[in-house]
Parts: sequence; C-alpha cells; structure tokens
Amino acid sequence: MIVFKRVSVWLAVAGVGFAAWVLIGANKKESMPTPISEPPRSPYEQVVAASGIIEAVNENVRIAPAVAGLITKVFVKVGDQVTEQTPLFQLDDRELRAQYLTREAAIAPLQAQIDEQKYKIGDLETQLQRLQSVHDERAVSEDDLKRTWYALEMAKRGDQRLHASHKQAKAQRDEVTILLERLTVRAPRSGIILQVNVRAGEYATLGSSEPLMLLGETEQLQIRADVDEVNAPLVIPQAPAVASIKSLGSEKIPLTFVRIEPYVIPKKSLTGENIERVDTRVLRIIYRFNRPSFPVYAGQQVDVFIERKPSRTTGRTPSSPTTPTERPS
Amino acid sequence: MNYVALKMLFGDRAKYLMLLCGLTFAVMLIVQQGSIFWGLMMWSQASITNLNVPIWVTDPGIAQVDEVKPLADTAVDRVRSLDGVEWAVPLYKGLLRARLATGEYHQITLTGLESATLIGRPAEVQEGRFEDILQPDAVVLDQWAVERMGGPTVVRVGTIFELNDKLARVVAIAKTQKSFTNIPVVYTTYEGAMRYVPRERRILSYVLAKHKDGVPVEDVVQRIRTQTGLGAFTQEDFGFKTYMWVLVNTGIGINFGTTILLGFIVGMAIAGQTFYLFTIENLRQFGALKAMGASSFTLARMILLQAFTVGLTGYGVGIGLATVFGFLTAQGGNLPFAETWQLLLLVLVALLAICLVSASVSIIKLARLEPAIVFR
Amino acid sequence: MNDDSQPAAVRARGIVKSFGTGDTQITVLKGIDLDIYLGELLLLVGESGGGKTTLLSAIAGILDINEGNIDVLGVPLSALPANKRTRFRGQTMGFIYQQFNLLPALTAAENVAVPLLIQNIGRSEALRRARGMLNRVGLPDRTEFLPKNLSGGQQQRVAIARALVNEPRLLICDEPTAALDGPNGQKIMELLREVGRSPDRCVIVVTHDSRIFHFGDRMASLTDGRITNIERIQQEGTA
Repeated sequence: MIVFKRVSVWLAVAGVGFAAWVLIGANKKESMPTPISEPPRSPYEQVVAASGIIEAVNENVRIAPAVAGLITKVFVKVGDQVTEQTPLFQLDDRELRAQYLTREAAIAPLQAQIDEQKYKIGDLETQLQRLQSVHDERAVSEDDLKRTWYALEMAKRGDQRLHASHKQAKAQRDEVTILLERLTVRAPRSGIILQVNVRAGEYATLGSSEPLMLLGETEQLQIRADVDEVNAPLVIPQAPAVASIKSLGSEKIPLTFVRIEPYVIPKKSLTGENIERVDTRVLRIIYRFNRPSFPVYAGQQVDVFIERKPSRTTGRTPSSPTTPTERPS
Repeated sequence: MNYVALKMLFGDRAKYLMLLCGLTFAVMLIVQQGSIFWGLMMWSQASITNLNVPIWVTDPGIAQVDEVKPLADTAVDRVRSLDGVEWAVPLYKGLLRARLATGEYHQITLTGLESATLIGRPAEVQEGRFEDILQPDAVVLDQWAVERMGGPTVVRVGTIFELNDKLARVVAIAKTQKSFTNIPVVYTTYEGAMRYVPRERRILSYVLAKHKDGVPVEDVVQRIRTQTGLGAFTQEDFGFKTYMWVLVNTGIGINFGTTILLGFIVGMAIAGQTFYLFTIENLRQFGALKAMGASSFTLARMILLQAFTVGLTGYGVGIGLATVFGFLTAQGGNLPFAETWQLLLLVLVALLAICLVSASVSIIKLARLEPAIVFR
Repeated sequence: MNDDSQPAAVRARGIVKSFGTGDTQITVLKGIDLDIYLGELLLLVGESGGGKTTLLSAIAGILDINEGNIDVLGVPLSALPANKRTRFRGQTMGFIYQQFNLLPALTAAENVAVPLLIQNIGRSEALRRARGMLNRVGLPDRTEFLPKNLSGGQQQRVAIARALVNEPRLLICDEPTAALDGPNGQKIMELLREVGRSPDRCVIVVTHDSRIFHFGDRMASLTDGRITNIERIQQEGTA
C-alpha cells in the first residue's frame, strides 16, 4: 500500500498512538488509597447506624465533698481499685481538731467534779447514818437530822447534774470526731478511680461542674448508642447489633440489648469537643457486651450497627430471626 | 484508481506538505485549546477528584463543592443506615486563615478527614508520611500550599504555623491536582478540624460514602436523596455541577468558549481552504482523467479518498503534536491540560466533516467541469 | 482507400456550437459536415480561434453541441447520456494533448496505465500492458521515470502510449507537436503514423504546424467555424 510508504502517515499513526497512550495513562482513574484502617461496615443487610460511647454499667459516680474546704491529702490515683469506705482524699481538718482538743479538755474537770461530789455524798451519808444510829433525842436534834438528809439529797442531785454535763461534754467531743471523719472523703462503693481532678492544696468547692473524682465500675461495660430521631421508628428492640471501636472497624463486638431509654434527648456531641452542641435529638439505646480480646475502655467512641427488618418492598425474611419480646422496663 | 488518487496526493511533495501542515496546525490548535479549557474545568473540580470517593452527601441546595452548608452530626449515621451503603465517613471542609512564622497570612482550605480511616487522603505524598497526621497538632499540606506560601524554603515538613490562632505542625506534603482557585489545602483529621475552626453550631460539611459492590452507585445516591432528604451526588455529577457553576458564574465559560470557538473556526477554515485549494490546483489533472473516460463518480471517490487520507494524516500528526505539547508542559501540573477522547473524537468528526465539505465543493466543481479544459 | 462504400468512423452533420448567451454569444462552429474514415490520419488545420479544438471536443463528446449530430462508430454521440458517453469515450478514444497532461505524480508506466485503470483493469496487468506500449513508442528504459525527468518529446511519447494503450478506434490529437521543437515534432508525427495509424483506427490531428502537414492522409481546413477545404495529401514516396 502506497500510504505506508509515507513518513507523514507513520507520523500520524505515531501521533494517534502517543495520544492514545497518554490518554489511557491520564484517564486511568487512580483507585482510592486504601484506608489506614477498615471503615466501619455493617454486617447486616438492613441496618440502623448509631454512634455510641462505652461506659461503666453502674453510672459513674462524681465524687463531691460534703463541705467545701482545702484539700490536704489525696489518697488514691487514677486507676486504683477501691473498696467501699476507702479514703479518697482528705480535707483540711485543723480547725476541727483544735475544737476537739478544747472539747476533750472540757471533760476532765467535769470528771474531777464528779469524783469530788462522790466524796461529798459519802461524807454526808456517813454523817446521816451516824445521826440516825443515835437514839438519844437530846443528843441529836430532829433538825440536824433533816438538814443532813437534805444536804445528802442535794449532793446526789448535784452528782446527777455533773454526770449530765459530763455526758454532754463527751457528746460535744464526739460531734467533732464525726465532723472530722466527714472531712475524709471515702468511696461510696467499690470501683475504679476513672478520673482525679484534685491535688493536695486545692480548694474543693461545693457543686463545681467538674467532679473532683470520677468513680466507676469498669469491670462490666455497656454501650450507650444514640440513634437519630428520624431513624428511631426503625429500631427494633432485641434486634442483633454490633459495635466497632474507631480505628478497629473490622473487629465487631456483638451486643446484647438492654433497654431503650424512653425519653428522646438532645444529642450531646460525642465528637470530642467538650462544649455541648444541640442540633438534633436522639434515641438512646443501652447495650451490654462481653469484653473482646482487645482492650476497650470506658469513654471510647464506637460505631453501632443495629439490624432492622428488610423494608416491606423486598418482602424477604431477615436472615437471623428476631423474636420480638417484651421491652424490659 | 485509488492508487492514482493517492499518488496524486503524495506525488506533489510541496503541496502535500503544505496541505498536511495546514491540517496539522488546525487540529493542533483545536486540541490544544480544548484540552487547556478542559484542564481548567478539571481544576475547578480538583477538590472533588483529589478526595476520590464515589458519593458525596451534603445539603440538597449546594451549588458547588467550595460552598459548604454544614449538616447535623447524625447525618453520617443516617447515611450508614441506608441499604447499599458500604461505608460513610464525615468530612470537614472550610476556609480558614493560616499565619506563618514570618507574619504572612494565607487563606487556606482546611480539610478534615475521618481520623480512623483517613478516607479521602491523597494517594501520593512528596515528603513525610500522611499517617503522621494522627499526631497532635499535625497537619499535611498539599504541594500547591507549599508553592503559594513561599516555597520549600518557607514551608516544609516540620514547619510550625498558626491556624486560627492554634498551633499546626506540618508533617507531610501531599501531591494533589492543582485547583482552580489555587487556595492552599491543609489536611487534618476531623477531630483536628474541630479544634481549629471557630465554634459553629454544625461542623459536618460532607458525608463521604461508598456504595456496596454490585449495587449501582446511582441507586444508592437516589436512595440517600429520597430517604434522608439530603443532597447526594456521585463524584462525577458533583464535579459536573461544580464546573457548570464555574462556567455559568465566572468569565471562564465566555472567555474560553469564544477562544475555543475561534480556534475551532480558524482551524477548520484553514483545513477546508487548504484542501479546497489542493483540488482546485489539480482540476486540470482531473479534467484529463475525465476526458480519458473516468466517470464523475470515480473522480468523486478519488477526491474523497484524498480528502480523508490527508485529513486523517493531519489529524494523527496534529493530535500527536498537541499531546506532546501537553505532555511536556503539563507534566509539572502547573498548566491545565486535559486531553479527553471525547475532544479528540469531536475534532476527528469535525475535521472529517470539513474534509467532506471541501471535497464536496471540489466534486461539484468537477462535475461541472468541461473536460475541454484539457485542450487549452 | 477513400471510397464512399466504407462506413465513416466519425460522421458529423450540421454541427453548430455557440458559447455564452445573448449579446455576448459567440458561435464558434457554424454548421460543419465532416466524415472521418477508419485507417486514415486526418489533419485539422486552421487559424487560432477558428474552432479546431471546439470541433475536436465535440467529436470526442466532451462538449455538448447546439445543433446537428455526430455518429462515432455508428453510435449517435449526442443522444447518449453523460455517463454512458464518458464510458464510451474511455473505451473507444485516445487523447493526445498539446500540454501532454501527464499526471506529474505518476511514473511513465503508471501514466500510461491510467486509461486501463479507469476501465477497472487490475494494476499489475495494466502496468504490464503499459510497459509494452512504452516499448512500442521507444521508451523501454524510461518506464519508471517521472514526467518531470523526461524531455518534452519523451513526455509526448508517453502521452501517445497512454492514448493507445486501450486500443482506441479513434485517436484525437490536439496540437501534439506545438510544445516541441521541429525535429522532435517530426519524430512524434512519425510515431503517430507508425504506431497510431492502423486499418481499424482513425487519427485526428489538430495542428497549425505546416512542417507536419505531409504526415496526414487528408487535411481539413477550418476557417471561421466552417470547413472551407478538404484535400487529399500526396504522400512522399507513394505518389
């Protein structure tokens, strides 16, 4: 063929070839770089997705002092396992201890008075007995006898009064002891110290927004999942659900349904910012789970997938039967 | 007679070269202009293609990618709840001001990627490791940010600057497609973005999602739209929406459109005229052939063969040269140049049409030709 | 040789041809009757602008005439539709032009082969016959030369070979020697006589070159659109 003897034709073929090569190279769509960890994927056909947070089963205890005061000593650190009544921190008790000293001191004089009164009573009793044993009316006047008797009775009443004062002084001392006791903040129940926000020397105020310490039970954890109110009608109680913690999207933790909180609440953003952003309301569902092989911690965010029935249009039965049971109260 | 036609075409080397040069130049002009225009359009949707995810979910009223209308945080979960969605992750995108140690200010686009997966990150980095973005205060710049902020001497891995009065440390330089506005892009994590941006009621700019394999992406997009009321687009649709916006709302459409149209007209005029001249000059030879008994049909076939041969040759050389031009100049990514097969096909069709038209004019002239011309 | 019993190869009667319309109309042929017989070489002579080329074009069927009719080999040319006339011309006529009109891009052999290619004869066969023809016109060693590399005489020989390659019954020559110098013109005319003239072919040569008059059998003079004289030429040596 005559056309193939022309350089220009070969140039043209080369041009088309080069253009095609460049085009194929340029239009070859680069595939997305693989995610550094698996994105959370649902294991079910039809799901309701929710964002959740891991928390202790017993709601965390925000430790607060009974009175405001200077903190002198902190007995525990974060992560300590504590039993009930374990002292957590100590408030300044010097004032009460001083009071205790004066109250304590007030007891001893009273005791001395009581002792003194005892001898006084003994003396009068002896005197009265001696007077009574004398039958000679001339030797002992009726008047003397009566006076002595009255004196004895008076002394006895004085003794009673002193005893009461003594008891009162002791009670006053005990009051200070109890108040002193109160300055040592103790664990209301066993658990793990999750947070310690106080240090010795700080002043503990009443009703501060931040708890002084956070006590929780992390042995048994649960997940609190927030479902957008729009999706709330799709949630079936008892439906199977899984959760995956962020950055471990491929590891699924099976969940056991506990309850649905019956009140739809404004969503508190779980995005790490500590200011609360109210922009939508969410249905809160509580799930329990067994600890997986990898460590999980209270407060971690999780992605939750709850299975739902296929929409009616597909008409298929769900792969795993969900037996609708009564909602636990 | 095809042989004779081709011999006639190739035989006169000077005339053939002139013809070829005209056509080549015309094709090159059109392809080059068109490609630059298309390259610009590609730049306008760079912030979409750079993220390279199949589905974008956002407010239904959105006009283009850089006009962000934030969504409620739960939108991610709502998208995840739909059938056919394989995954969905949040994305922050917004304008912020960066202040360099030198005191210079730069407007930047902050892109907050979901931290666990970093979906949407660029495929290539020039320097550093993209995963280091998970470190505290870490950000990743794109190469254009480095260029805009003063070059590698001012900004490099390890440079510390301020983002909205908060500390940011560069841990990597990513390689991305230049964008139309050329606003530097700063990547951070979604959580990091929340730290940098001023307090707003809503943060979530986009939900990026992927359809399950085997489910058509259009179905999933449609489902997201109808079931959540959010706006959902495929990557291509969103890109199209964005560059249509650029075309309509900026001067580029008009300016470039006229330039391309002019290039097209000029190119086609050159091509048509050159070829017409070629046949006119050969009229005497065609007359001789006609006198020797060649029918008008045969002559028409010969002219068409010549037209298409030279047309295709010019086309091939032209797109080859245009591609070489684009390949050399656009390699650094600094010049918009995006050749597409659609453009090449369009030019091919137009060129063949022009060849056909000029050949037809010649054929008509030939049909009217008195073979007696050969006796003069 | 010239007896009326022999049928005329070309029989033209009352040919009128005019160009243009209205005031600018010029009548070039004003009623021409002419018979041309097989085996003869007819010279058509006359002044420039006398209508020689027009008459030639009319006989070749290239030009439509206004009045009259032309029969070529018994076929009424003016009655044939254009495409049939073209084919008829390709099959029965050969042309030799003043300017040779060789295709400059083709070699001598290829140029000669063109009429065969027009007749849809295969290229190799056409080229083989073309080379044979070039051999007959004395150019066996110039077959692969381009026209620009041939002298004027050689080009006209190629043109003659091209005109004869499909064995035409009618050979139409328009000033074949005008572009050549004297000796070359003589040689071409000799060639035309030797190769071109045969008992079943007639050769028409338009010329005003008196040096070649003696190559003709008859000479028709055309003046102002009319044939003024037809004379038989005494051949040298045949007396």
